[in-house]
This record gives sequence, C-alpha cells and structure tokens, in this order.
Amino acid sequence: MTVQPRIGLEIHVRPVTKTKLFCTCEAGFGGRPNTRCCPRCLGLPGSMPKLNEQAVRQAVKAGLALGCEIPSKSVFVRKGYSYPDLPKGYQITQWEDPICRDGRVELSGKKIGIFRIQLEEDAGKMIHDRGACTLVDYNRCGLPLLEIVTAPELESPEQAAAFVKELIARLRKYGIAECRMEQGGLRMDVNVSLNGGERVEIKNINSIRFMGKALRYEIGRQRELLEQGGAVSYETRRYDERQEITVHMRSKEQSPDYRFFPEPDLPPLLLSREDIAAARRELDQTNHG
Amino acid sequence: MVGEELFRASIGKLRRLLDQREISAPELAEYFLDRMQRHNGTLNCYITVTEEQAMEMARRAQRKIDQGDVRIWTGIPLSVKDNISTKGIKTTCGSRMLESYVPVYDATIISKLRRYGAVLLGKTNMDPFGMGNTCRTSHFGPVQNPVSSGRIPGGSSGGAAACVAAGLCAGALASDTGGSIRQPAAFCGVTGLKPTYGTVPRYGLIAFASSLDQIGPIAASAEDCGYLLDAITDYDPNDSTMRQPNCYGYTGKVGASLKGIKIGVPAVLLEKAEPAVQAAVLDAVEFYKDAGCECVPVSLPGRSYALSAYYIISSAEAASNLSRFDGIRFGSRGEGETCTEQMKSSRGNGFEPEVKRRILLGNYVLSAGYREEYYQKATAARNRIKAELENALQACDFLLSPTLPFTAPRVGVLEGDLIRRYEADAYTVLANLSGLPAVTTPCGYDGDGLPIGLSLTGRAFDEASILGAAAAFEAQFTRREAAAL
Repeated sequence: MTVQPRIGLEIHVRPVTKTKLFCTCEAGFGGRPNTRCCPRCLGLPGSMPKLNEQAVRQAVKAGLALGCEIPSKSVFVRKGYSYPDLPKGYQITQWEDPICRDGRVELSGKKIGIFRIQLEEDAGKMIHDRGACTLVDYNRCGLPLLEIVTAPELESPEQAAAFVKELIARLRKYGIAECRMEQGGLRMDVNVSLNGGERVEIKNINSIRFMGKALRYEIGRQRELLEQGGAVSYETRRYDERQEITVHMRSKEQSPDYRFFPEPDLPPLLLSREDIAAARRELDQTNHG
Repeated sequence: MVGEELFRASIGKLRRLLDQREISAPELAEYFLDRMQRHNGTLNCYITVTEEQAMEMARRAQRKIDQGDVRIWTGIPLSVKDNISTKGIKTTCGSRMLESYVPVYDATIISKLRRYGAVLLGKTNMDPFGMGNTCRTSHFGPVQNPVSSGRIPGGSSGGAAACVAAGLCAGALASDTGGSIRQPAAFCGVTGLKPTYGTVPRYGLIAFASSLDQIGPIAASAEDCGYLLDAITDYDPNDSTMRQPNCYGYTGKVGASLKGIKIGVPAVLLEKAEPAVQAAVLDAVEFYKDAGCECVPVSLPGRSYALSAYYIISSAEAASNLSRFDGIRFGSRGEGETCTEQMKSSRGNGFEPEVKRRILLGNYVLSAGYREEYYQKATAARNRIKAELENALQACDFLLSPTLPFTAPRVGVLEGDLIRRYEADAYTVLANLSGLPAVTTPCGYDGDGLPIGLSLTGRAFDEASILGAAAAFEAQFTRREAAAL
C-alpha cells in the first residue's frame, strides 16, 4: 500500500536573550537549582509579568527570517493547566493573535508554509530520580520560547528533517537562537496523517534524529492500521527513545481544556512600522556581517 | 494637643501637629495602637497588628520629620488590607489557604509608603480573596460594623472601612474589584475611592480579577482620600497595565467652585433605591444645584447586563489567578498519595465556599464550547457599558447616584441568600467594568440611623474633580459618630 504522509511541525526554540521573558532573571542554562528565580517567575502571589523587549525583537526577527507577516497588534493569553512545574497554574502564551503569521520557507524548490510564530514562557523542570521525592527546578521557568508552527506540507521524514535543519541554519545565522538540542534549546511536536486522514500528534521530541525515527515508526504504524482495514483516529502519542516506538498518551476526549483568555496583566503588544523596520535592519546587518 | 479627639483629626491636621512638634510620630502611633487594643477585640477589623514594626516605622518617620524630609503621609498611621503584600508580615487574603503566608517582597505601594515614612499599623480583615460583600466570611472571623453591631460592615474591605469609621487608623489602603472599597465605606459611613484602572500600581496586590482590581483609599474625608491617593500613585514599570505616569495633586480641586459643572444623574439607579436612600441622594442633588451645578438625567440601557458581565469576567480571571494556590510552593499543603491528590486536598481544605463557587463558575465560563456563550458575551457587554458611561461623561463632568440602593443589611440577611448578595453589587460594578474612578461619601441617614452613600463617578484619571465635589458636599454635611463603639 502506498501512502502519502502529511507532516506538520510545532518547533519550540529558545531565543537568545539576556533575561527571562517576563522578569529580569538571567536566562542561563543549568547551574544550582532554583538560583535564577524571583517573585515573577515563581508566580508568587501579587507578582505581575513584565515583557522582555529583547525577546520581542528576536521573535520579530524570526518572523522576518521565515517570510512571515508581522501584525501591528498581537495578544498574550493564559493557557490554563495544572502541573507542579508551572507555578502560576497557567502559561502565558499566544493564541489567536500571534506575533508572526503566514510565512513560508523554500526547501529545494518547494514552499513550506509557516502558520504562525508565538512567543511564550517555558515551564520549570521536574527531577524524579532523587529518592522518594520529586523535585522541581524553576531556573528554566519563564525562559522565552518561540513556537514555530508549520502548515502540514512536509511529505516525508527526510523532508521534515531538511526543514528543521534549514530553520536552525537561519535562526543561527541571524543570531536569533542557538538551537542547542542538548540544552533543550530545540523541542518538537510532530503531527502526521496519511492519505488525508486524521492526524496523530507526537509530543516532545528533542532532536532531529529522534524526529526521523519517530516519524518513520509512526508512518509504519498508521499504514499497518490502514492495511488491516482500520482507521486512524486523533490521538496524542510520545516517542519512547529506548524502544524506538511511539506510545499512546491520550485521545481527543482526554485532551485538556486550556481555558484560554487574554492575559489581563499585559496590554496587547503593539508593534509600529519603525519597530519592524529596526528588526529588519538588524537582520540585514547580521546577514552581511 | 494630645487628647482623646486625635482620632477625629484629618490627615492635614495630623500633619500640622507632627510638623509643629505638638505630637511625635511614635506618640501618634502609640495612640492609635492603644485605640486598637481597646476596640479591635469587638470589631475584629485587623487580622494582624504590627505593633513592633509600626513603632520602628514611627521612629524612622520622626527622624525624617526632624530632618525636614516630609511628605504629607510621613508619620501618619495607616492600615493596609490583607491582600497587599508586605515583606515579612503575614498576608492572608482573609483565607485559610494563606493563613501563614509571609511575602518575601513588598507591594510597590508599600515600598513607597515605607520610603517616605508612613506608619503601617496592621493588616485589615476581608472576605477571602476579596470575594464577598459582607466581611462576615473571613477565615479570621467576622468584622463588626462600628455604626451598629447588628449590621454587616460590607465587604470585601470591611476591616478597612470599619477601622476608619472607628478611628483605629488615620486612613486605610484597600482594594476594589466590584465595590470592595465603596460598599463597606458606604455601610460604615466613611469616604472611599476606587481610582481609575491603571492609576495605582497593582504589583504586590494579590489578584482577584486583574482587569478589575484597583487599590484605593478609605478615609474620613474626600480630602484625606486625595492625600492617600497621592501617596500611592507613582509610575511603576512592574505593572504593565498602568496608564498614567506620575500624577500628583489629587486634592487640587478641594475648595474649588462648582459653578457651571454639569452632573449626570442616571435615573434608573435612583428609581431602584429604597425611599430613604432616594431622598438623601435627591437632597445631595439639590445641594449641587444650589452650588451652581446643572443636573441632567442620563440613561444607561447597558446597565442591565452589568451584573452578569461582572460575575462572569471576575470569576473567569479569579479561577485563573487562584490556580497557583495548590499547596506546593505556598498555601497550606494537604495530604495525598499522589501529587494530584495532594493538590486536591490542599485546595479543598484551603478555599472557603464562596471562593470555590467562583473558581467553578470561572472555569465553566472559560471552558471549550462555553467560552463564546459566556466569557465573550460578557466582554462585549463590558465594552458596551464602558462606551455608554464614557459617552455620558463627554456631556457631563461626573455622574451622581446612590452608592448602593439600600443601607447596611442586618447580620445574616445577605449571608444566606446568594442571589441577593450578588445583586447587591449591581451599582458598584459599573465603575470596575468601565475602569472609571468613583468616590462614595455619606449623604444622609435612614430611619435606623444607618449611613447612606452618595457616589460620584468621574472621567478617567480625573479623580481630582470627584474628590473636589465630594469635599464640597462634606463641608456642609454633619456626620454622626459611629455609635456601636
């Protein structure tokens, strides 16, 4: 049975910034746990977010580097879910009005659409292997992330890998992101469907190599299902690196309700033509230099 | 002049006494601490009395006075609502959830007050997380209304209003999300101001509904409210929703002529009020006419949506704001085998019934499929109400109405009746939904001797005008002493 895969990616990269997205804690990696925290990134009662302008500039540059439109107004929202690594009980992210939208990247003659780029904050890190307790390190909590969402226009694991490589090359070239996979600086959620059927989402893949393996396994699994006369239904899976398989996480019915609404502590982000022109100049300078 | 009457003195008068060395800042602090000791047992308006810190702050204030480095509030003893973060001082929000929470940082307004030598006497009682209008639901016990012991003080800032009415501080800082400053101020017979949204930095105010919350003063007079507002407004880069850079001089229009001022009177708010309230407010209209104002009727058709819009939006934001209280980093930690079980038990035990109700309501109106039906419609209604009020304020300098359609209910009446309790917010929520400033001042007494609140709602950032107009009314109005002390 020949199948036609369609692959879409949601790629999280950490932009280069001096500080976290909504506070002035240093945006470093590793170090002693819970040493780069403050009332804001710990979500202490009464604290409020303050937007990092450098992160905004990096997001705009990413948008320009990927051929996106930069709307004059974008909106931050709260995405509600309960987990110990998310101290506020919600993540500040973007949703219907992201900072960049409708871009395209040319890949060996084929245009791959970029739906959107959104600016959001990272969660903390859970540590499970230290005895009976689970520990949480909030050093990572509140670091900026760019979530880059492509159209489902990639047709093979090889093409998906080539796309991510191209993306990394551009982000590095312009000094937007270092994409250091070993530091969690590039994480991917992968969506794949066959022959126009329902898509399956594979969460939290942290290297191009694993992405290729996960996709090949998942395409094989879905093809087998179809060959046996079954149907693929929407579900979220994860990639098990040791067994090299994808594993069921949850079905559509089990997917969380994020209760999105506009972040009342941040006014809409307004970007003037001058702001965007300044980001473009920065991009051009890096390009020539 | 050191005597029994000091608690009746205005902030301006206390300032003169301090500056002329007729009393020292530590003496003044001791005087109020002594009054608190005598009366707080009955009134329960303070959750925490910060005696030691207050005396230390008073000594520091005195040094500033001696050096001539004085602001209007230097050495003035104030109370702070227990949802405003104070470094090293318990900040409970009136809830079991935060009964032992001690903030590691000061709210912006507290840093400023400290910097210029205000004296913080203690943290005032409130309905849990600001959710309530009776001040009978605090984890730390109910507050008594100093006017009449059989009546509720109103809420959620009932502790703040009661301690001003009883002279247990020279002024109070509280917060108002749907009337939490104005309603108890009206029930206790004192003056309260909800400033324009974006005037006072909220950084450090433990959020109930972030797009509606605003910190403001409760005091004995409109002029004192103006002084206190001067003390707490300051541009703060930590609060991205602030809209006005430094704007001082909120008492600038106290004593100014009212001639030629145009006042809008929303007929619907008057019609629905009890007869005694109607009569007192109509007397106030006559006062303003005699002072040379023109009073015109105003219609607010969008008002009928206000209460629903308020409860939907405030509960949605509250559900999100309170999701951090899971017992893991702060809040009392519950028992449980798994992390989820532990969170469930922490929240189940820590939150009071009204808080739980709003969290449930808020999560419901934001959930997939209902968001469009409720949250988005409420937002549209809010925008309409805002536009209507702003439109009315293009033709008028401010709007005049009863603060509430009735006076302080008897203990027990609202507590047991959810719908009546929510409906009691119908007037006050207008200023929060629109973001506009509103002041309440007593304008009369009903047959039971209970104070009636007069509300003036002004243009955005024009607190000076409504405070000036309220002060003009106060200058000719005789207030009664709080009788239940």
